[in-house]
Amino acid sequence: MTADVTVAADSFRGYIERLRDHGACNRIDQRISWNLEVGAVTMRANERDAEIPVFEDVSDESAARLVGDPYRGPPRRPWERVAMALGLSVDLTTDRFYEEIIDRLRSPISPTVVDRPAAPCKRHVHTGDDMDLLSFPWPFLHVGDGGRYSNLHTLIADDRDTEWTDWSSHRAMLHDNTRASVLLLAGEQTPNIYYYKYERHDEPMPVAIAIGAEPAVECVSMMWIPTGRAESEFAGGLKRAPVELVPCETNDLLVPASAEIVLEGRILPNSRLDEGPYGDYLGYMHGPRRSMPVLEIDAITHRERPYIPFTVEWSEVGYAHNTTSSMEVACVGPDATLGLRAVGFDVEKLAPWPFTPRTVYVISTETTRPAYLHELANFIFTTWGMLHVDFFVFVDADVDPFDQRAVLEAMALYADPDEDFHQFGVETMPKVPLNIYQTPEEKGDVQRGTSKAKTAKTYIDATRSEADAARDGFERDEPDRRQRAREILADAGLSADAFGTAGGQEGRN
Amino acid sequence: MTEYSTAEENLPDDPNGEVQLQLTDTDTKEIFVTRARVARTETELNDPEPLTVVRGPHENIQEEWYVEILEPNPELEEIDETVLRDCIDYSRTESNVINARSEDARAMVQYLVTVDEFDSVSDAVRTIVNEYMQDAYPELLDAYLDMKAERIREEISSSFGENR
Repeated sequence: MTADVTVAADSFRGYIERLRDHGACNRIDQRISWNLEVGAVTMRANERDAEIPVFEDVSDESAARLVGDPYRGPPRRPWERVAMALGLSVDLTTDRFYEEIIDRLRSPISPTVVDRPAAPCKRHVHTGDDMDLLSFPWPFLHVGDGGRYSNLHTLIADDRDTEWTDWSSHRAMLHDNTRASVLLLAGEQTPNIYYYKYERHDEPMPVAIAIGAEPAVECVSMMWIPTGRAESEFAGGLKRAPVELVPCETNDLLVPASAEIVLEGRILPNSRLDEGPYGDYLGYMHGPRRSMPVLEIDAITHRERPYIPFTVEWSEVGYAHNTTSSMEVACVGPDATLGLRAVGFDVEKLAPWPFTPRTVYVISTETTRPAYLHELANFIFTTWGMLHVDFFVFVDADVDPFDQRAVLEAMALYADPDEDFHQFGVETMPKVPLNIYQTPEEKGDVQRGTSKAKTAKTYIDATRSEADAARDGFERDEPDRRQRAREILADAGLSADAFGTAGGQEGRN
Repeated sequence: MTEYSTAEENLPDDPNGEVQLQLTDTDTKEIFVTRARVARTETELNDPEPLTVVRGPHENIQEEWYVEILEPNPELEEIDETVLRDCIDYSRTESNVINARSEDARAMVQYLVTVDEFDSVSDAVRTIVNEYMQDAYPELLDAYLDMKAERIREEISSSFGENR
């Protein structure tokens, strides 16, 4: 029986089935090694916008399977696979997709707790000497990487001092059969809990890593859910049904029952291991290797023949997408738009600038007063955008922030280099050390995850001033002029398909 | 033959003689710390295996070295808590004197005491042993400190219980 595709897939393998039903999945039975080969095949699939590769045979030691960039969407519609996973139509426009996700996030649903025997992730339970972390085929992705990684998962941790449980995404480099180093960059939620609460009290932080959890869980792990709010409830909202949780074997945490693999353990205080080098999301191997907190594994539970999803970072640079960049658009975009609206900002849409993950954002806004834009930038740069986001471009509400041509046009026409390029927090802003424009010396060593040398942020006001808007009625004629231009280009032999944009904003083609 | 890799920053300033080194098994990608000898040429080692040393800020410069693993110490990777507990009991109930029976060691330690580097022979031996333990057997030291702390907690708790 085929599952109902109008509801969210309630497991990762259910989502793989859905991909298969849509002809969007490439099942590979031939032996492909976890050592560089699966990464290379996935990168090629990303470049060509090919079917999602499912590697059925990767190791003599394990029956586990690998899935390369499972949520990667097409270049012009990066949210498409997330829409499919959540039971939405893949034909939605960006606007409709955004509003659907925002509506769902506005209606959180609390999770339920199931008994261990009912949880698929408890099919096999390994503790103590029975654990063998490296027997699983964790991929080694780039020549020069410091180790094998689990990089598409949900890290679950309780706040030390409150009832809050945080779900987030932080990659882990596997060292041996019981230990990994976890990339915890201070300034983000879970790292702050670790560095400023558990480690300050010299206590280990109990954690669980859910690998291959159901799509709604994966989505909220990428989002910037406010501190103190439970991602599990927003996952329920996205799914329009409660997420089922189950207690861990070795600590008090609750984990998604549908997960393919769960690693239970403790992130130790005042203990560090190498993390990286790593072929990172900006498209470069970067150094130096960093010292990051140590995860000591206490238990491994998993489903039968588990799937291990992974993403090939750095393949999203250029014109390809991977899971990170697709989910940035599909999850972070609507979530951040909702977040800004919730605190009173009159934004139309926040869009990650394509192919520059986590670095440049474009915001279309109805209100464009300079003081208002400064306040908006201040809010973002001092809260969730502090570490990663380098700059914003503000455009008018009628400019589609996903349409790079339209955004560049707005910058060219309305952003005065003298008045509209604003530096923010000069030499005071922390910067994620994964950037490539600071030298290794400027980055320094760990610094709890931020570069030693501080930097600045920038925002560009590419909105029309009142004088621009009133000038000569240019905007009134714009749709006709655009249509006329397209007709001329079509007559010249350029297909009308070439005029599509990643955005597909309502009312525009 | 197993091949290994490491980063230049993991090598000690003086790589001659025995060194403690973080290595990666290039087949399994397992990362571990071991005692070893390293050399630029294989003739300098008794049982050489290939070692790739990466260097530079992005570790994209490679040099081919050789390594001889001396002491994987598999029996010490997992601390036997029962044995450790027995040893703690022994050192508490029996003598806590360590007897090295070595003229050489005694002479050198005595020298350090005579030139005021240490207050006493006991102080010198304790310090030197502790530093060596930290370097060579950090897992044992951690396990010992944990067990000792646990014992102190138990003793305090039981002492309060008796006074109730």
